[in-house]
Amino acid sequence: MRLRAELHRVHLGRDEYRVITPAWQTDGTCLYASPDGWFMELQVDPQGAGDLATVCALAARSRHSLVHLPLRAGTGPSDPPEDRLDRLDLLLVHHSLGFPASRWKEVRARLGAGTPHTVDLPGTDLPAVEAVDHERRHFAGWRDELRFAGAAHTLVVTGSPTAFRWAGSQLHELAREASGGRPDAHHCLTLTHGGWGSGRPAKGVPGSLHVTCAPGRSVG
Amino acid sequence: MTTPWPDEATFARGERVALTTPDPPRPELGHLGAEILGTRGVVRECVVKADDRDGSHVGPVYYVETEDGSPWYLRPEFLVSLDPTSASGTTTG
Repeated sequence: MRLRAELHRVHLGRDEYRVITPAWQTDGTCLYASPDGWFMELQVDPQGAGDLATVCALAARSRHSLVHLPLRAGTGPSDPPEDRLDRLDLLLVHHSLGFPASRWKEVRARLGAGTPHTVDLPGTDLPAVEAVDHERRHFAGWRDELRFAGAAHTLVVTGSPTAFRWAGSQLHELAREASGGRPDAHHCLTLTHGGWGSGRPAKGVPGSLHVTCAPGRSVG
Repeated sequence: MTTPWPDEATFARGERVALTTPDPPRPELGHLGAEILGTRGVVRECVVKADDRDGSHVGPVYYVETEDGSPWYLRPEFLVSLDPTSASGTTTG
């Protein structure tokens, strides 16, 4: 899996943050939420779902970096959501970094020009969906789950390597199914905050992210 | 900023631990899979909180980050110290 990206270094007080911004075609991708925090949806085409899977694999390995997808910069899909919905960027954060979402606005304001990089990731980073050991979710003390927060028109997703790899595997499978399916078929998955039925994100942040993938989705 | 370490804690911040099965067995506390037992990690945080699986038990729960980067929140019954100089050194926490 290969990804072109820009690497930024941001100094904020005594802290330095590395921000990786993958350079990809985001025009077919749109992330939005209802202003009341009731629901959140990510619309992608198969290429976008596959790229997002790779980005999840990158986040799993990026113990010291923030992975930023400025999705609002794209034109969005040809079937845009209603105007009243808020479009969002996406930020993936390794849990070991302990990055508070509230700092994102200041970090983003200092991004500046990045340095181009090419990231190569082993294809084995994303396990096959059937290889994911869901039994672990029932173990005492298990916390390999994604966690959602919101800041500065950005969905901040924090997770462990395993949590990001499992999400990446689901997105990779979604891309595979949608690319071989009928153009009018509905392909989707749901990523949840803290796993099903446990925990709630901060007020105003939906507890689940519905990801829809349409092969016919194109640039608006 | 470092948060205060609870007085009730018997594992130290940064202490190396392995995941284990409670001895004696405590089925009401849940279980760990055979492939997980023995996984090593480091204690990152400790909070004292109520656990309704065990009546009204209130005690330390440890955030352990294992070698594969996974976070676990476990009671001391599921941990054994790998640090020979530790005062805990037992699974009873």
